[in-house]
Amino acid sequence: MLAVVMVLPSLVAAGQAVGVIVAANNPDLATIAGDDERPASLFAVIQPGERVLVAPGGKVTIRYAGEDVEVSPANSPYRLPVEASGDTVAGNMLDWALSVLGATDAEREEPLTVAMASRGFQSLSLYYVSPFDNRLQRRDQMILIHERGAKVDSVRVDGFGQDLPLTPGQAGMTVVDMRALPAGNYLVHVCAGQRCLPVSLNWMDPLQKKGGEVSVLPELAALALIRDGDGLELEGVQQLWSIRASTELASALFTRLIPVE
Amino acid sequence: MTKSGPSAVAALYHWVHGKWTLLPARWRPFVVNLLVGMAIVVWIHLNPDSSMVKRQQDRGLDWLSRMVTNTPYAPQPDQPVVMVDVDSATYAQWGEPWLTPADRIARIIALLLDAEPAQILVDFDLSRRTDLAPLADILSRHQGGKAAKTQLIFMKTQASLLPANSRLPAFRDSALDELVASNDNLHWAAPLYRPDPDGVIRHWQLVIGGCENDRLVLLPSVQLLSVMLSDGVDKSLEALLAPDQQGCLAMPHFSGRIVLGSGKQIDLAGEQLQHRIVFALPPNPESGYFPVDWQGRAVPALTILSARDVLAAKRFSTGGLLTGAIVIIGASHRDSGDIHLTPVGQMPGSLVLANSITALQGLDQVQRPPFVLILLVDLLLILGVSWLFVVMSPFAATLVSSAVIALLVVPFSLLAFSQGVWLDFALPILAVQMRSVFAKATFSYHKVRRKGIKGVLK
Repeated sequence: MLAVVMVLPSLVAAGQAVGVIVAANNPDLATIAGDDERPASLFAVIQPGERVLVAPGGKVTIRYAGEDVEVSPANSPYRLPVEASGDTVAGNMLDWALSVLGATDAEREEPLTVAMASRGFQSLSLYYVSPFDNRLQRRDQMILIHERGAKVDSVRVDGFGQDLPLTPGQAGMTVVDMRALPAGNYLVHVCAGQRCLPVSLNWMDPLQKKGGEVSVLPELAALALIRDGDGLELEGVQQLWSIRASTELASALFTRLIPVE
Repeated sequence: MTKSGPSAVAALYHWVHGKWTLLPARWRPFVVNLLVGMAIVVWIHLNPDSSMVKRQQDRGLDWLSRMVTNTPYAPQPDQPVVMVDVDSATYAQWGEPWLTPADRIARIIALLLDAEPAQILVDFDLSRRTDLAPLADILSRHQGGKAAKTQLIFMKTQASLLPANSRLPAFRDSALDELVASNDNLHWAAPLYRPDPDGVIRHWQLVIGGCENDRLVLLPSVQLLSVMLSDGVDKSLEALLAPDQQGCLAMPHFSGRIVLGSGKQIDLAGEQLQHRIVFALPPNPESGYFPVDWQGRAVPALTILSARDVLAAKRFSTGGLLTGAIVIIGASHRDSGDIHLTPVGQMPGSLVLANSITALQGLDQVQRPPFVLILLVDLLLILGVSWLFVVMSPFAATLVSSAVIALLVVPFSLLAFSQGVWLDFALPILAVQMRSVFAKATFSYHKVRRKGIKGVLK
């Protein structure tokens, strides 16, 4: 019972709020007036009852009890009201009960897009769709997808004897002319600046269906590269073409790929 | 088995059966409830690592964490925490850079250093980058008398692949390694957490082991280093390694505790419960963060500022919130990949760090009370609940016992929890409630079968 007596008052009472200046366009034009007068510059603490005065041209934002209050000459002087900040156990319990009852489902259903995409390292690499392996059906062109600011300087293939011709595409991608590369297993080195990423590539002839009919595929393959620890992995993706209509990410990637055709 | 074995068992059975038959029929469920409840208490005590006990413990602690978060019952930080956040607005304004630009981090640090915070934590992975010259330039000037007022902590991550003959990954190299090693005000710490199987971060790792040249290297976690720098510590982490530690061939095992200058003891080993994070700082509380006493006034426990507003500021307040505070520079925009699930909701990694520091500062590690006390409290609760089921209908008894638990036991638990003590009362009580309801239902079912619906209704 002693515990209840000790706990109950603070189950319902939060602490008194103070304000903090979290943005100020020009501290010379804003002042905090209370027991003393001081500039309303970033990180200044404002006690309840103190006033914030803003001269023409000035603007400050006060974080107060969870709200951001903008003070400009239009609403200056602004007096900080007395309010509580923080939560209470009773309030938290109510929130929990409401969440259990489903009253806050609307909040949870806020639209939120999550990209199933990974960041690569430094300048090379990027988006990937998993799970795929490094078997790619031969295409006339292969698209390297990479950071927008990066520039692929060369693509070298071990045992092939010449660099593959490159055509700069739109920002974030490079088109590799693959027509000269016959089917086979290769180690491909994608180089940008001083860095080269080795990627093993099983470059396969087009698959034949049962009746001997060669499947008609667009002459395009996409390669995305990511770093995995100290190694580099290829994550991509001839299958991307066939699933572009069915997944959001594939669709988004092709939005970038289409202009290069 | 000897001949006397079966006969002794039989004698015991007859003795118990004799006593049982002497017991009035209405008190028999009471005794069964008592035995069931206490058996569960003992079983939980003997099997603290079983998945069922851990799941139950997680649920209970998640609920309590959610109740106390952002209230006076949550751990209270020693000083305010300020977060300079590369939020979505900042990220967009900077042109959505692939990596957080080092020159901008450097400018933020340079601005903050003038206000003399106690610690600045830079929550970006600075390994494997070649663009750190602006940062190195600022940091190389951060030494001497005034610099000692602010300690800078940088995050050290680990490689994904294990070196040969090692169970521990290596720490990743950084262009700042030499600079940090040569400056007493610069430190590396590990921001590494291991999520539970459901993806929720509930526990911290206080010390991370890595392998460098076949040698075990220990790195304190961010929260441990933060309190060690604030309070001082009695011994090195290496001094607490278990004597049978096998270099890189095993995860580091510790024996004993470190003692901070404030007298607080931190157990590096101990059961998982002790490494539970009590989240005091939820993401985006509607009514702001709870106030803490700081230099004679109440200031918010956490204040989050957009990095773009900090960079745009011409001047910081002297003697304001920042002086002596802990500052975390981190990112919360979606592309950062640094958003994590916690018992109190999704939050950026920098807020997980703020919570970990606050928890380690403001709370002794979560402890279980002595077993005798658990036994006593649970015995009282089980007695009470069992008695209610004897004198009331199952529906009324469930209602009343739940109300009593809510009114008496929950506040008691909150009070204990605010002192870092976790009393797991829910499972035995729930078992007793369920057993009673089930027993009554079974009894009613047999009655219906014996007499039929009409017979029961007569």
